[in-house]
Amino acid sequence: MGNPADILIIDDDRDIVDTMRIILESNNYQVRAAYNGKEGYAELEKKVPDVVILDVMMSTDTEGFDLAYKLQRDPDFKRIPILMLTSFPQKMAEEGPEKFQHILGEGWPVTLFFEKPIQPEKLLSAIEEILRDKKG
Amino acid sequence: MTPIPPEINDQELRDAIEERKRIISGELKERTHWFIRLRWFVPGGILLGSAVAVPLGFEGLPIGILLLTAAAILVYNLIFFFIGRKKTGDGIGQRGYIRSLTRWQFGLDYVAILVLIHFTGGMASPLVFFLIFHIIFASILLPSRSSYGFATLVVAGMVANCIAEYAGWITPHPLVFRGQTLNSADLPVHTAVMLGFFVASVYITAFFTSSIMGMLRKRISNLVDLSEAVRRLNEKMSALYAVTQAIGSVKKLDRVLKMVTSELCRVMEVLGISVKLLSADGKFLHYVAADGLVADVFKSKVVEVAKSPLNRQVVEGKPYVTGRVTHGEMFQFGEDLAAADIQSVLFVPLFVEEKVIGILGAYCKYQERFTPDEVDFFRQAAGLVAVAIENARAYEAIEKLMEERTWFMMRVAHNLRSPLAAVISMLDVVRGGYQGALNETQSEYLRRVDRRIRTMLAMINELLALAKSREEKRKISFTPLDLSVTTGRIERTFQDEALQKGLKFEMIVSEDLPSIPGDADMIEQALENLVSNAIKYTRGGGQVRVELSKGPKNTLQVQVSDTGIGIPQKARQNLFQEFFRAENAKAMEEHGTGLGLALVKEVVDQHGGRIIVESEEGLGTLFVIHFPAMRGAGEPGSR
Repeated sequence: MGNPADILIIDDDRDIVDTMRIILESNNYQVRAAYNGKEGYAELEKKVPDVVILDVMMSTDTEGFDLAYKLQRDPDFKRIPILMLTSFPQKMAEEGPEKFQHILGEGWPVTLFFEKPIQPEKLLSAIEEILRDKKG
Repeated sequence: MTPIPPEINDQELRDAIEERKRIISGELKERTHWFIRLRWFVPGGILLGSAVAVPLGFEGLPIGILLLTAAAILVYNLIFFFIGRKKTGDGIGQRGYIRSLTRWQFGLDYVAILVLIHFTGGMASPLVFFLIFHIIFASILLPSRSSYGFATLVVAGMVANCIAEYAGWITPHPLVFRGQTLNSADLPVHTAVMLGFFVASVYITAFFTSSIMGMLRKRISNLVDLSEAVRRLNEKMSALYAVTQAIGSVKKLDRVLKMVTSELCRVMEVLGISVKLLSADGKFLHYVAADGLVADVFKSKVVEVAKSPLNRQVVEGKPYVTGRVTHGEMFQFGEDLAAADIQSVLFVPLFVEEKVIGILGAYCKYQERFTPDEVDFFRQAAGLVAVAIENARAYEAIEKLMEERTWFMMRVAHNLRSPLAAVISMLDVVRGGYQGALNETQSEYLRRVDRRIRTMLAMINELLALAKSREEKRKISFTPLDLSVTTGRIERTFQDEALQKGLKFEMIVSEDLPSIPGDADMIEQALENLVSNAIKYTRGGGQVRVELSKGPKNTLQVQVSDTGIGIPQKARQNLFQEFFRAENAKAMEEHGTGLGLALVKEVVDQHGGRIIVESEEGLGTLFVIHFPAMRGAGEPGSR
């Protein structure tokens, strides 16, 4: 492998960001972090990462989704794989209110979707899977 | 309301006349065919009469001429039969054609009968009575007055025959019965009297039949009008029924409006129907639906009630109708109406429980279009439309509330789980050896910690599910409250905290404080939240002030003010939302539930009160609450 893959974490929970950073960096990934959608977008514009790890509920209920859709519509960014993590119980998100259903109905904008907390092994295998698919 | 002249509508009138003509000409044709069918019996009758007459004792009858006449009748009836069959279209021009066909039949029939009468004894012939039939037929088949014309023809024919026979211009053919000759020429006076009575009976018959037919025709025409009126009424009833149906079944406001406007537009046969709804403050009317109208003329337009005397009149409950818009200087968008070529306008109020919620409008290109009947119908329709709108609105409000509740649960779930997720992630890092190796005891304890947290996570999920199934509002015990105890307690609770922070804390309770019905614990909790926030977000040297007094309109007024960090403008709208915290509040105090003000709002709402907030970032915040006080004299204010 040449350069280490560049991973951008966008999450307003610093503890979550820190722990993921430790796990990913010790597995030789290059990690950047942003603490809200706006900062995250600024980081994306600086350099297109190989993977984005994205939280859902930040300053607004659907900030993560809003960003994901924004990326999906942008030809420069639409190919970036997104691993979405959320503290919503997954079941609730699925049966969720209309607003949420509406988002889900528009065409799923993310590559993978997991409920928090995510175990280190699961996080690493998810990233590997995404990178493998991206190459292939 | 201006008096409305009867409905004048060129196109409609023309259509109605055409329709009437079509019906009449259809009937005329039917009757003409019937007349032709009847005539088939005549030649046979003549044949039979001739055959019977001789054995009975009539002598010297010119049988040859009688049979010739019968043959002639047969021939011309055949011709009429084929002509009548050939032309079977139902064009309007048909009518004149059928009339002339009928006239020809009558003319030929008269010639035939007069010939028969002449050869069977003239005035003395028993066939004289047959002349009466055609006068009756004429009034049925032709315009009723023409029976007089045919009566005159008959009379003229008979008189001419008598005179000619008497004068000897033509040879009389008197009847000879068993040797006796009945010659009218021998009895001129008798013949004259007979002729006189004959003439009288002919004209009397013409008079009776034409007046009876006239009456019948009028009756038929009335029936046609009546059935048309019934048809229209039926359409209108169906429209009202459709609206009633919508009340029960259609739940989305925009769909209700669309259905109602298009249905009314169709039934009333007007250019357009609009619905304007009154804003909450009653100052503006918003176009929310318009069928048949140019969208950009009306949609998105807002009528300011104060500036439109017409709309104000309707909002006050009186319908408005005009038949000539160009004269209507009252219209705010008069030029738009003129551009759309609208002449008649009808506006009626939409009432719900004696309150006007908006205006239903109808627009038409023709002048003086709306009759009092139609105004009446439109008002009834408006009654139903208003209920349908109100129903849909209520339903939407409930839906919104349900959605808000669901979102609340989502946020609860998220905010309870987030910290646990972070803890577990951090534990995973430590237990995974990322931060250095652990000894066995450390590993074991961290494993236990992990297990306990996961149990807690599961518990939260279960609690949320439970809460969802047990959504039941807490019942409040509404008893008159003595707030002096409450305020005293709050003062004691926060005095020390304020002092420690170097704040000036003041509590002012006026003497004439009204008593309010409510739940003491809830109100105390709400006040505590407000005071606690004020102290938390005010820096040392600042001031926090609580004031309870008698408010306007029989209310208790609570004011909590501080000289703290204030609330940013954009945070105001979310201020009372669960788990919401303004950015500057987060910066000053990292931890907070975001539930304090949400609870305050909940308590105020449940007590039927109102809360307003004024704030300037960096300068301070003022919360003002008005609780409705006990009605009537009640107990005097406490303290």
